[in-house]
Amino acid sequence: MYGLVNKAIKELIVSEHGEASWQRVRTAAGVDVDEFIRMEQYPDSLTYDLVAAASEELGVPPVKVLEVFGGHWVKYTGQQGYGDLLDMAGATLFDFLENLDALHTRVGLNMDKLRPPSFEVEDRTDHSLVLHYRSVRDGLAPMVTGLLKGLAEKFGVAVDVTLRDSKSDGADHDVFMVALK
Amino acid sequence: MSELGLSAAHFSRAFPFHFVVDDDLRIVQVGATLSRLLDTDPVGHALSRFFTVEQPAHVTASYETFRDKPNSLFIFRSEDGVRLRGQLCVDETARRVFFLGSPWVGSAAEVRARGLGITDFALHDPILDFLFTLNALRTAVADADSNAKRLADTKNALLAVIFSLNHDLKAPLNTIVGFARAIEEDVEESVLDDVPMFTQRIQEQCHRLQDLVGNLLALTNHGDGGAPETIDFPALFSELRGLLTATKHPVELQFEIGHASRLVVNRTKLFHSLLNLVSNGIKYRDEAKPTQSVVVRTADSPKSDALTIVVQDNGVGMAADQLPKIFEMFYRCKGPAQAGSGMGLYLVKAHVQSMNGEISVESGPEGSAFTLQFPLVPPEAVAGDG
Repeated sequence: MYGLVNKAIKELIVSEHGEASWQRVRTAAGVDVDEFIRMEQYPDSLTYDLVAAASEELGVPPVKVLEVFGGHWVKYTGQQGYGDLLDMAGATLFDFLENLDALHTRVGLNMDKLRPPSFEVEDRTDHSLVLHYRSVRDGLAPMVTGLLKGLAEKFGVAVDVTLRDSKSDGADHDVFMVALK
Repeated sequence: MSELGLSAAHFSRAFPFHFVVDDDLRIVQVGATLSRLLDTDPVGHALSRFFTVEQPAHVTASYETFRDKPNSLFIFRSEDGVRLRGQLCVDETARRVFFLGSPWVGSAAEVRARGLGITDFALHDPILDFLFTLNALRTAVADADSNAKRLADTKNALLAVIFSLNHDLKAPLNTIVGFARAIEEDVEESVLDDVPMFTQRIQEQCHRLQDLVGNLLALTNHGDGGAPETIDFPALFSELRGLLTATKHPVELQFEIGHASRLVVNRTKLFHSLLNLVSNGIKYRDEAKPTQSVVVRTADSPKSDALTIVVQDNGVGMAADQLPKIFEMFYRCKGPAQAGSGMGLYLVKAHVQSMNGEISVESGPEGSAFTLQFPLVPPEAVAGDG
């Protein structure tokens, strides 16, 4: 994963639980980097180790850590110089989700080792849609749930997010139902 | 190659910022996004009403000049500053000039300011990717900047440690060497009465050095300065008094505890900071005054969200123009001959800041007062910090 992701995890832990908490997580995860370079590629295992250590430190399941991180990711990238680019990507939550794939493709031009997730919108109506999430990485579906909720908050709407098909239950990929409340 | 046409609708989708003018330079067709950008349907109006040619410079807009410049990069500029960058294609049979291009922008913020979004651009148009690239570049430069700054801070902190070490090591080593020579002489002369006192002094200085080595890591801001702990002020002050009265001086030391809150910081850094400030008070005492004193006083801030420690002396004080500089590295106040390394207050400030505190100073002929202020951690946050 790119440093931007790891830096976001660090920022989340530091802002919510303090620097000391982050240092404990980092040490427990066996990560010797403290200042991540955002445009630099780091091994995926480092990110997974950080999530596992954060779960241990904060006493919440990894799934919950990922979900909270998903929500934080929206705010974080918004503050890290991607705010205008995100704003350009859609005026409503559903428009944004339709453009999410293209957004990752464009980011990929400058991050040549990026293996971005893919998001495909299907069956869009005024108040609901089906979102297909495909990733070469396993176990990150909870992050997408958090991401969708964080995005809904950004666009000032409330949503119900349901995982219809789950890759961990044998489905080809994760499929989310997103419905406006 | 066969002639293939593209309907106006498709053409508009493929080139959302294009326009077509006739040989009078009247607009006959315009891309959907451009029309929105101009806030009006420009078809039928003169091009000059909306755009002037910015590049190539010195070109007077006319059908003929446009026709003769198919290989030039054109930038058209609207009255309110929209710049379109692209090229001209001329259909000489129909006497029409096509402008194909897109906005010439340097940041996503500019695009947003025009009310445009991703879907307003053609998918084949790389201008948005260019914005992403610029963003990536800015990110990389910002990271490089912040890392450079951190390295500079680390370097200064290490320098500070080295200078402080140099200073703190010299005095005890000189004393040890001196007493060792004295013992040597006494042994040669077989007068051993003072030897126990000399070895006692040597041991004292060795203890000082041991303490110093023990505190070394705490001196570096980036090293492991030890975990924050709840400060036991009576014990801290008693230790300070012990150390500061080891050498003889006429300065009266007072320690007053006036706070009720709980301070959780790195004890070694706090100790080192107070030691430095009180030592300065002793060093810069005013012999002309009838009594000399240094008072260390703690208090809760009026809003109870911070704890302050004031170190106040009635010494010689500092001139107003010195005050802004005293926390700089290597700055030395003019004063007694035993002037220091110029590192003391720099280190104090670095320590206080690394404990999330602030330090300020007031000074005049009546003496100096340094105020350290530490924000208090809410009790519930401290409780969970086992």
